[in-house]
Amino acid sequence: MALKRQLGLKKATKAKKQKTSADDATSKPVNTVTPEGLASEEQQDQITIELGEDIDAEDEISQLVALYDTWKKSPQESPKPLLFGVIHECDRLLRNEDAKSPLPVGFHNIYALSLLDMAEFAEKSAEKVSKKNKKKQDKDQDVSKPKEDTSDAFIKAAIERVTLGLEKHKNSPVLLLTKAKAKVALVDDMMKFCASDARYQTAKAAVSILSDAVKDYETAEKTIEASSDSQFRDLIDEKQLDTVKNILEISEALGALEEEEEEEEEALDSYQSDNNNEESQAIVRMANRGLGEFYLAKAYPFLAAIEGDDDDEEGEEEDTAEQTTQAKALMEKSVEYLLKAESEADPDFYVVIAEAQISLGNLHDSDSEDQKALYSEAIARLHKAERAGVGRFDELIAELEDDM
Amino acid sequence: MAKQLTSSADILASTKSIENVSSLFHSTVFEPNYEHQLRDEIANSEPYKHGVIPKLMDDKLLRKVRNEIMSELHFTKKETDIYKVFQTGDLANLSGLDQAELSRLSSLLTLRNGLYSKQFREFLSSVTGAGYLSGLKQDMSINVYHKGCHLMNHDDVIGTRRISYILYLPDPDQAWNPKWGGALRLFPTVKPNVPQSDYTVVIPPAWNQLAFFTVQPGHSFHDVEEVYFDKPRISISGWFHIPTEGEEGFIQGEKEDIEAKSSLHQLEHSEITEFDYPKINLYAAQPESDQTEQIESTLSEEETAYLARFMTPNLLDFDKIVPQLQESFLSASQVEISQFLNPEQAALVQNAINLQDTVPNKQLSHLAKDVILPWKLAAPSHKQHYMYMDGKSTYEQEDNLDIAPDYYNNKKGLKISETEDAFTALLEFFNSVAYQKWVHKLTSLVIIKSHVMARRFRPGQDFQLASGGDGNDSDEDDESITLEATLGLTPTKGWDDGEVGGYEIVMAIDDDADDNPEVYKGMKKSNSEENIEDKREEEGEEEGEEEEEEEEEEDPVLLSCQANWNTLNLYVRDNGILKFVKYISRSAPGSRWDISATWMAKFDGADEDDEMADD
Repeated sequence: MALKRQLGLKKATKAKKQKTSADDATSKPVNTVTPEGLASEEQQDQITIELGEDIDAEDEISQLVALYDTWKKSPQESPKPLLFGVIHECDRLLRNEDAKSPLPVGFHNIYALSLLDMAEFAEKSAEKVSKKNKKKQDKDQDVSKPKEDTSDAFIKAAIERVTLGLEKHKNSPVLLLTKAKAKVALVDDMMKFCASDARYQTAKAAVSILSDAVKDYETAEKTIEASSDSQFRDLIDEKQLDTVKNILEISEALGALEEEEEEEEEALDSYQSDNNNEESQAIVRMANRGLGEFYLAKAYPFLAAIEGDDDDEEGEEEDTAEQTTQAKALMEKSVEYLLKAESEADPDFYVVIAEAQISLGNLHDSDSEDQKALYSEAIARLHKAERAGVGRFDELIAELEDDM
Repeated sequence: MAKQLTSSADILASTKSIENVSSLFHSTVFEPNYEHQLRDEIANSEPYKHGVIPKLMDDKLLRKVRNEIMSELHFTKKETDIYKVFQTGDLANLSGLDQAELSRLSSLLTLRNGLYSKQFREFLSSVTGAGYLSGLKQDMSINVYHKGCHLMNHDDVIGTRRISYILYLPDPDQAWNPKWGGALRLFPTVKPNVPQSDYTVVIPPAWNQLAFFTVQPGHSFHDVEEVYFDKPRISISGWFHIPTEGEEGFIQGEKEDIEAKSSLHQLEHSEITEFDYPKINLYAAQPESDQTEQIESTLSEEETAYLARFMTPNLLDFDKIVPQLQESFLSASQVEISQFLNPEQAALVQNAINLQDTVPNKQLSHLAKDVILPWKLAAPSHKQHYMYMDGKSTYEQEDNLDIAPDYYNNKKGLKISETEDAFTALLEFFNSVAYQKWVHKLTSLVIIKSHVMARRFRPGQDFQLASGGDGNDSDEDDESITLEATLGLTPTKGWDDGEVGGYEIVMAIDDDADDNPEVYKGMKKSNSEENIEDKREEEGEEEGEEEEEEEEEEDPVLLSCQANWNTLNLYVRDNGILKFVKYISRSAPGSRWDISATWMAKFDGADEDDEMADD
């Protein structure tokens, strides 16, 4: 390569600007290079879709399956371009669908799974609830406003897709399983990004969705068990099946919570001790989080009542004391479970725990050692969340420090 | 351009029209004993003569003024390397308002006339001993410091200013808590024009309080502490100037004399570098005289293994990746490489940094004495303030060009923590022959001299104002090229929107500017995303007096890098480039950490285009 003495940044920029067309004249002359990016550029140009020996290269559905498999085997760091390719292909097949030969189960399944994958990369449903003043809760700010391209929109589209598929392929276990999986994903999304004062309602909605998911799963399970046909298994990735099954076990437990809390907690403990692999740990964390948030939701009406009682008359002191006792018991349970769900991999969750600890701290006497200890733990978590870029909590931290 | 529709005659008439000036002020101000008391306080004040009047104006009048400001004026954010503040647009200078505008701001006008009235000017002149003050040249602006706003250290010396003042108008019904920040802080000097690193006086805002000082070239250094809370710190600030022709106390030639001194002062200001640390003195990259030959030679197996300990493996792919990077670099004179350190090294460095970075911001000492070796403090504080580590164990050694970094002595003589150990290894790596050979392969430049340091910019205190840097070493022949690199090592997230500062900007100085341009000239009227404004606007002075240039100017920002993790930016620094690191807000998620390298290099290759290279 012919070498040229460097012009220097300023001159090079000027020279480049002269060459640059008007439409991109504003772009900064930054040459960004990622070592991995360099290596993968070539790879991206040479993506090979492997078709199994027994697959007909002319069969569009087989090609779709192969394309989706290639995506699943890829590093899946971003949706481009394979996942977009799968969805694009699904759209095309759907447009060309012939009423006489409806698209098969596999098509609907892959379309729905791809939409679920897309949800992973989409903007989250709502801004996280974070900068909440520990004593005031701004209800307007916390309201979730779903957008078209947010994660929940993709999940709902996936549910719609399998529902449409099930209209044509009644009780297809494959589609039922995917539907259950999508519903669990929806609940996960709802719980992760729900406003703190909407938790109770969200939790109630979640229980109902999970209950539907459990039914879907049970129907699918029965069909599979009753069937000697191995065709279902060919279409279901074993790992996927396990994941759905595991999640649903926990979900089932959550669904029954309102009636038999202790029993379900024991079930969780027993599950926890029986399952120690990484995947199970994640599920256990999720379940603990679910339990923690469930108790938080149950405590919320008490917290709101106590908050609202600030200006009330003296006659209601006894009520408040009773409410405080109940709220404290629920919040202690909540914090206990939330702490078990804490993970470095989920820094957003530090804020949820910190908020719960602050709420619990507020229920203790001002300046008591219990309150100070809870505030102190909350502050440490808020610092961690700040470092992970979750948000800025300096004012909240300062306010807590003032109260310590 | 601000309008100048209010004539001197109008001003004179309006100030005279106030029959009872005293009624505009707080009842205590003109009490006979107070003037004596204040004069004594000012005479005995340190680090330079300044005064504070706790209750200046009539409370009702000032409340009206505040209401007018809140309802009638619009503020826009202005940010440069030296400040972030919300100012009124072309209302910044009240002298430029027409009658219609002034009628909506009648209380503000009354306040202004009161401040510039003969009675109050004589009072101020008497208590400060500053001499006569102009009633005609009125110079005031309104600023709002919202959360995160700040103004770095400077001495206010411009033109014919005689007294600087700030009248505070925070919420009158909620006392300003000093914890909220926004204080005026005064710095003593090491010697004239060189402020110390630590401030010694802190004057927090308070409703209706006036803080003021005589503008003293080389001495009156002050800054405005960042506002830490979401509480607007509103102030009216401005200057009293020397009398203009026809006014009492006017001295023929005084204006020219003061302006000349002011210009000379500005020049000295930038030229005194004796107390500037770090010294970017480039020491010989390697002591051997045959280093060029050495660096041009191929990397040995041992050297490659050494590089592999630090760098991402792909960056050592000399068949494919490095040539691609080289092509990119040669066309733009710049390249940004993410994931520079390999995952093992990155994890090691991150853990080491976290040991110190996880200390909450408020627990970090802001005192110079607490920066201990091997870290040193960048100074003086009107230019820079950050921690750095360059492998040399004393400040004095920095002056000696012949002494290369003595890492070994550091290790032996100093208490080195895991953090410093990791940085020492990185400094050694950046200074190694092996790394210089790699740079050579990427840039075709042979490194002759080198200066590498680790830097830490702490939240709530550190920054580097725009400076021209050393550029090419004048002692060397014209073939030398300055190569600069920054490896971002900030482990925290949350910097991307730039709200907490910490970004590094490389920008071009206007080619048409003077030969010895003031720093701010390179920043004039940029429309870049960082909203770099003409630094002079901060002074709020010349707007009504100078003609603005009409022609459209190019965006001067050449490179803009947020505090990042493990990204190397490498570029050739030609003449006419300024660089700065924006002040880090105390609400930043942690410190900005990096490795900053300056190399003098020589081009190694057949010049195919002499015309382009003719520089």
